[in-house]
Amino acid sequence: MDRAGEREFKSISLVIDGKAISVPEGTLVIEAARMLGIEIPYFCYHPKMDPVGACRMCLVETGGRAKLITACTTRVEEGMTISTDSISARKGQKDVLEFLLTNHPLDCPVCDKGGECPLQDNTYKYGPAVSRFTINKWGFKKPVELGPYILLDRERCIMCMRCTRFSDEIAGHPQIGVINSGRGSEIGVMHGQEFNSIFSGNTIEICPVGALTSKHFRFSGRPWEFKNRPGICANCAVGCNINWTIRRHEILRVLSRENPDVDDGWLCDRGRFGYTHINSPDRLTSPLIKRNGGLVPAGWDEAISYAAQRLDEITLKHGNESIGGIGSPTLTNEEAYLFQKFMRKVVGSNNIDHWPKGNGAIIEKLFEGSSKNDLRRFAYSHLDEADLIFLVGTDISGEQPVLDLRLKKAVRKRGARLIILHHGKTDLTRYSSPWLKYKEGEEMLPIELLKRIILKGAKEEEIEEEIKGEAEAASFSARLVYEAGMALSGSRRTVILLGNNLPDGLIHAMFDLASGIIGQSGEQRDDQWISLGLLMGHANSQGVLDMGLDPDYLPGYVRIDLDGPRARFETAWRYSLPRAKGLSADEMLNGGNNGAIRALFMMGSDQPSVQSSNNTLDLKREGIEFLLVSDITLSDKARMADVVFPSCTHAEKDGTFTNAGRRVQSFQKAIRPVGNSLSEWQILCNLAIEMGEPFNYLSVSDIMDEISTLVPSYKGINYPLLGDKGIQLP
Amino acid sequence: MREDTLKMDFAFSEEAKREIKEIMGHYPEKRSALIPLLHLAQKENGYLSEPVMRHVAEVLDLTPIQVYEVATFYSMFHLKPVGKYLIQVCHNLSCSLMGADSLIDYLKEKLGIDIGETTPDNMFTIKTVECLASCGTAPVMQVNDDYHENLTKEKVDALIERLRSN
Repeated sequence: MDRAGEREFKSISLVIDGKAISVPEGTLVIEAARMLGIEIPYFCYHPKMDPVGACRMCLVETGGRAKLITACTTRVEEGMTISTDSISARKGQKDVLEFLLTNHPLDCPVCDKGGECPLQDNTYKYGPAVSRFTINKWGFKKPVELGPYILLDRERCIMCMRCTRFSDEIAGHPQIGVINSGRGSEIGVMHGQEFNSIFSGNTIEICPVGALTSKHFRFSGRPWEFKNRPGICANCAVGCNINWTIRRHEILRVLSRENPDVDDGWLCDRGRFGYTHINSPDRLTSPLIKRNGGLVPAGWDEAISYAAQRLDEITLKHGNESIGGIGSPTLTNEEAYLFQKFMRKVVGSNNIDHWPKGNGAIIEKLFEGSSKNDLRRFAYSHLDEADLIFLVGTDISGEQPVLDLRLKKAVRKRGARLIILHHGKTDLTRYSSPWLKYKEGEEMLPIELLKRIILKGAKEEEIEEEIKGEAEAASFSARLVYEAGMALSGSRRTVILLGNNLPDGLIHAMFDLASGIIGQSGEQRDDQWISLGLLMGHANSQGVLDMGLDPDYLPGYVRIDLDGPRARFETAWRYSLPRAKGLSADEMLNGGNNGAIRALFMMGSDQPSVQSSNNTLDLKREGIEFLLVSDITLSDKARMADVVFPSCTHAEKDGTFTNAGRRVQSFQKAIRPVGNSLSEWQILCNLAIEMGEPFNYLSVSDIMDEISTLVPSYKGINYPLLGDKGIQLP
Repeated sequence: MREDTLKMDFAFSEEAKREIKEIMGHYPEKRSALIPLLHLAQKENGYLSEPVMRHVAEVLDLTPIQVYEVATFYSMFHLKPVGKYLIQVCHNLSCSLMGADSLIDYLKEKLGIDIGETTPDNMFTIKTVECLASCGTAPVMQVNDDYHENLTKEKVDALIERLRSN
């Protein structure tokens, strides 16, 4: 297999429609034409999949050959002359369309795809206006349910096989296939099975006709009524780029918006179909205040002033330290920054944390403490270059699905080696060589063995001896772990990814191991690199940590108890910050830590990403006199609250998230806020002003400007610079 | 598929297992052995039931649909039980020109079954197939492994008679 960058590409010159071009050897004719801005019609061709030549739409004429050729399967040759619009090429294209339409029902007026359909568009552009096929068209029972999200209309299908190729080649889930042969071919699943791949929804988007439609979306509108506005998916920490399909301030659909450094143009079903909370009838539309035991609607002014008054009262009575704040990892960077500033400056307490929380802070401190050039910080694009990928205690397929596609691409298309250290089987373990399986909770053993092999030169026999006594903990042989050790120390470009909930000791051990390998390699191997990352759990888990939504750290991992670094914030905020160590979220949630917490401010919704994970919020009201919650619906925590602020989803506000690969990505308001809901940053500004502190931020951009001056890794970041592809943190 | 076939299990005989080992040795990739294995399974089970296809998928590390795709592609694989005699009548160009259609109608009427069906006594199944590569002797049909050429109604009568009495 070729590795990009290792091979000098020969240049091939050819002429397409009278225009000369030189392209790298191996380029397809259809791609060379595209570089010249020449359109060749197609259906089955897809730049990310192997060519098949199934639909025959891309017929072009080439000098010296009697028959037309398919531009999507033919690679360029030196001196080739191609004609895409000669009489014979156009006739070929027209005839193919006439064939493709022999059984297609042309039911565009009732088809979801009508208006954004390549078959419709190409028929208008290249097809015949009439058909010579006057015989009856085929009729099929429809629709056929392929899986939980997808319906198939066999009459509309033109057998381009994009869907089956995607599910096999890209997703690694060959659950749909071509049944029968010739004109009897149809797409289908095996009886009793369904197309339940977590990536199934992509096939709806790449289907060039209306054959695959979304159960959620079908019949909900016509494309010319829609607007597609850019956004970022918040269903996990990958941060896939999306387009919201909107009609009259309602989200109807989520489509992919390709960002090569993030999602490669794909989405998982959790992201694609996880938007129903946004326009849910359960959304809160006005603030609520608890009166006579029940939550009743109130105006914003009333709710803000009441909340401010209660916070002031409790501060006077029990002190600043009696107030705590817990933010959701779905808050934007700006909101997280502002929330911790509010707690530390306006309230005067370090009782600020986020929940649910992973182990990300450890890796941040480890990187900060090591000299700069040793290890690379992980970015998704490193997977495209890696020779070896080592996954430690993480189920990427379940937790960061779209990253799993990038991994499969590295392994299946590029031949990268995958080693997995995990107690359980995942979708990726079948590609792993080897898979080091350990007993849950015993993950330190293999790491220690690897350390001995790689850093101490232990031989296979010694490992064999060692494993003997540990037969309980290891389900792997000495040979496998030795093999893995050899691969790790011999690899030139390695990506090591750690799970979010691994024990501290293991993260330290992995960091030492990775540093050790780099340290060992010396100068003769300066092309060697190791990229190390810890994959966070939720939409902005990385960001809220970077922003100091943590009792121990100010933004940028500045320890609250170190006078020197803290002074920078005290100067900028013109305030002497509280020094006392704050309480963690778990401590605050657990009955207010024996009465230490009298008022608790829980900011941000658990939807969409937090809710889908296995976290259960264990909030006890005892001891807490005042509970303030901002949320999008009347969630369990909102139900318990004294005041509830209705907040916006990320489709209704501006902000930035920092993804699991530490890429900062911005998004803008796509629909107007539901009811009287406000963004959390606006709520914080209003509350701070009410409490006598001028939080005069007019936009998220003002907040980001402040962040960029205080947090070194965010230095220089601003909204114009973020653009539509985001910025990778150093 | 019927419920009873879903429930049924299938396993290769010991002899077939030895043969599978040999077959798989011929290919660098497991999945290349799919067609030979389907033939073997059909020989053992008479036709490719769902449990059979699932079992083959398991043996070759494929998903069931990957086996199903291949099994439905080729007319020589049977997805339903077939009679003792499988009659495959060619209806491609040469045979059609030489009267395949009326031959097929005659067979249907004579046996009282439609294309793809099996007589109640499990003796005959009729299938139509594409070119059997014997255009010079059209119309042609294949009964199990034997060709019957230059067919007429009389020849068909005689053949069916003979097969019935076997």
